[in-house]
Amino acid sequence: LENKKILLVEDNHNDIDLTKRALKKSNILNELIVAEDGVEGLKYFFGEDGKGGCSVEDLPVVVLLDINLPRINGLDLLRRLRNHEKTKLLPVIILTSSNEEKDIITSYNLGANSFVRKPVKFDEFAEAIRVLGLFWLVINQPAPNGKH
Amino acid sequence: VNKAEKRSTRIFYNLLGYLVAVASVALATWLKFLAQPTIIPADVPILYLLAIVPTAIFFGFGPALSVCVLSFLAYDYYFIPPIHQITFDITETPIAVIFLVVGVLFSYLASNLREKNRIAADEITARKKTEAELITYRDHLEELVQQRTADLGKTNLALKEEIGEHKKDKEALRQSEQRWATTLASIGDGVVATNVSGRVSFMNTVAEALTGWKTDEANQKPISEVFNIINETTRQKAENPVDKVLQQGIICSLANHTILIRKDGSEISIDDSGAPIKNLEGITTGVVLVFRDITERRKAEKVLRQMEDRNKLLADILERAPQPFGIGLPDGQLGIVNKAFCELTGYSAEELRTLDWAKVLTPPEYLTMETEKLNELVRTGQPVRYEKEYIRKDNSRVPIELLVSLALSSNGQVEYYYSFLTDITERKRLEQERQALLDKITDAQKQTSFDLEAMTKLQKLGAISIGEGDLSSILTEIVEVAVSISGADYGNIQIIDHETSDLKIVAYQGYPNWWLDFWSTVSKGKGTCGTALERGERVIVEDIEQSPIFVGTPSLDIQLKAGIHAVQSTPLISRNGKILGMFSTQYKTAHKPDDRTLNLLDLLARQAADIIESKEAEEELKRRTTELEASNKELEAFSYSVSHDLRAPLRSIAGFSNILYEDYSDKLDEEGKQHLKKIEASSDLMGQLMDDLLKLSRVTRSELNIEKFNLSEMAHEVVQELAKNEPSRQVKVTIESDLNVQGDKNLLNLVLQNLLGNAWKYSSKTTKPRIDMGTVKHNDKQAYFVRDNGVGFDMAYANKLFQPFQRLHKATEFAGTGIGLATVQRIIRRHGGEVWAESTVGEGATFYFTLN
Repeated sequence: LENKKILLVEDNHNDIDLTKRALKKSNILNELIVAEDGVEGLKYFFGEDGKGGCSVEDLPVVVLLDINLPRINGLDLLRRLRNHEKTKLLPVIILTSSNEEKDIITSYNLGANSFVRKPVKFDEFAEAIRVLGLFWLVINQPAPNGKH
Repeated sequence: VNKAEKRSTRIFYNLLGYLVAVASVALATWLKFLAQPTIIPADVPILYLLAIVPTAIFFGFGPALSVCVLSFLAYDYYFIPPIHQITFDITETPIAVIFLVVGVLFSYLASNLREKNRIAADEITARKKTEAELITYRDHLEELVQQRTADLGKTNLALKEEIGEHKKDKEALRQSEQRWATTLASIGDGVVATNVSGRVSFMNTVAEALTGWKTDEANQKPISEVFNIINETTRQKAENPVDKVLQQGIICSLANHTILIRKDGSEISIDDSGAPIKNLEGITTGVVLVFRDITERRKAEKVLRQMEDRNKLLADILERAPQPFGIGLPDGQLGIVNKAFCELTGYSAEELRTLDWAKVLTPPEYLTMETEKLNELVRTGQPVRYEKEYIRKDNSRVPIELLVSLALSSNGQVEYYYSFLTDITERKRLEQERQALLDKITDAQKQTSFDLEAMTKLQKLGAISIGEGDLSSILTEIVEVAVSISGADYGNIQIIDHETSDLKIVAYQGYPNWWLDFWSTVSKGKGTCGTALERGERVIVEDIEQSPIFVGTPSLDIQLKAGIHAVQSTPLISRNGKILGMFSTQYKTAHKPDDRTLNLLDLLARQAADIIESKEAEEELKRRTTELEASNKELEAFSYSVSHDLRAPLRSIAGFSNILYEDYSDKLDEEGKQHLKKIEASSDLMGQLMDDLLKLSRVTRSELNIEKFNLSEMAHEVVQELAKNEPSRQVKVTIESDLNVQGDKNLLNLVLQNLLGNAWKYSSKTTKPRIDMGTVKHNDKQAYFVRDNGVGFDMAYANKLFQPFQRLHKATEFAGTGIGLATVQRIIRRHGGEVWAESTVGEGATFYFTLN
């Protein structure tokens, strides 16, 4: 379980801290990789100029992706991930403040696995993170790496 | 010779009688033998009796008596016993005796009868003979009479003298008679002589031919038989001149018209006279009748008389005819005129006869034409018809039609002209009326076809939908129609520039460029259009050179240079009375448009105004739509921003307050902890507010998805949800069943959540809370209501109810963001309905809404 990495793509530091605290509170001790915008996210997967990037083993077990990001926003990043062999089947959870219908629909159309709105109340936020972690890290059976 | 013949005939006849007597007895005896005794008894001598009678009748008593005696002997000898003996015993042969007696009696009677007949016949013969003798004698006498008649019948002095001179010279007389007879036979008249008793004694051949009698036939016949005359008119028997001469002894000729009925019954008209024939002693011995066939003459006379009668009749008719008639002489004088002619001209016949019809009656302007017509008449001989006028005696004129014919003398010279005239005053009047009517009809037709054309064009314009083409091209069409149907030379439409309030030409027809440059922008007061703009009504300039609008302005020169002399400008006025532009037409001559044209221009102006107005409205709409779309986008961006960017710091505030509370609670006192809780609660409320605002904005933006559904069921679900969230509350809820509506299910669900939620919330402090939902009639429409018996509100603030963030209760009493009812109102409005509320403080509130 500890080997499995979680990628958080989030530009708001406060949210990053709150997410970390929520994960910690829920005893999810997996390594959390943080990309602060879409460009960084892409860099993690595909390296500079689309060459290299993380190995298959280093692929996160789940990506928590915000939509409103500087430079390349969350939805663009999602589209690129889905267009790439390596990340095509990677579980991506849209974790955002928005509950706009448009955003929800676009997200699912681009192949998001889940859409979660961040509650304002921390208790509720922590609970959401806990349930997410439990589901994607424990309950969910991901597609075998490289077998697709 | 005759007597000898007769005697021998008689002897032969007597001999024949006796032979027949013997033969008949022999025949009777033979027959008796044949018949005996079967048919006739022997003692009946009937066959002998039969033999007696014919013999007696045909041959007399002698032969009959012979038959009788022979029969008696034969009968006695052969049939009376003793047969073959002659017995004369009377007592024994009574039948024979009776037979003898009867036979003798028969013979006597029969021969007697025959004798009487013979005597009668002889008498007739004798009489005939006597008659013939008498006739012969008469003939002879009459011949003499004729001769005498010839002597005296005609006053042939020469003959008389000859007779006188040769009275005693019988030879001369005979010659004379012969000559006279020849003369009589050869003269052309019919001559008949009668004796003193009026019997015809002589007829010449002409007389024979005329009467149809031959002299032989007519000889000694009474004159009335041969010369059978009747009166031509009465057809009664006319007095025979012979009778008259015989009675009066003088010559008489019959002047009365006499018809001779010929022997064959045919008739001829004759002229006759009779004269007595006197002998030397002056005693009338006969009459000579002279007559001639005047049939032809009579016919001619009759024809002449008929012609005279007819001429008289015609003249009479002409005179009395209502149609004027006149005969003109070649010298220009009027020959004959009738009464109608006099009445027509006002002159008397006498006056007319002395005046020259060509000069006095005829107005000079007609003379050439009339002369030509009369020349044509003379040249062709065909009657000519023409119209002219007569100058009447009172100097007034009367229009007439003449039919002039020509009468030529036998040498081909014009004898006179005769004319039938017709007073055509009435006809002329009718013609004029007709012409006037025709003109009117033609005008009306022109007008109609013009109207039709105009209507067609207008209709075509009407058919142009505003969507089609740009404004300028539609208005150009209107200008073209206006120019063509108003007879204008130029036309233009200007539109007001809303910024400068100047008129600017947008459509035009037929101007030079420099003119358009000059008039491209017109401000108030300049030219006709500027004046019309200033006055706000149509301005017509009939002649620009006379108009103060133009005189003394540079506009005048421009207009004149373009050849414009008249202008009209009609303002284009919108439906709400605003001047949108100007509709002008220009004319190259001084011109005053008639009412019809102005009406048409009004129509066109109306149409142009409508088109401009709708175009402007269309553009305004477009502009607003664009604006709205832009603001919608802004709003969307704002909402997005609210949902993302405002929530993130809020979440930080809430999150870090929570962390502070959890991680540093040992360093905070109770008050500090309370503050942190308040921060958290406020953040939470703000989150809710933001969510509600987003809902409100979504209500405005989202597409309506109209479907039919059961509102009652939806209400029950909402109430169930409310009850689930607050299971401790006991609220009596009544919902009218089967409220079927059409609308957006999600949005109307939001409405019910808000209205029922409010009812639920505001009745929370009531002891026996109840919520009712149902329908009422409102302005003939169905209105739905949600009623509670909660705290209600003050109606003074009812206008604030539906405004966002407006709350009528303290947040400490009832939680809420103040956006719910604003959302409800937006949803109901988007459904085309209304929402309103009624309330009394402390007694609850009722919210109504309608749906379209």
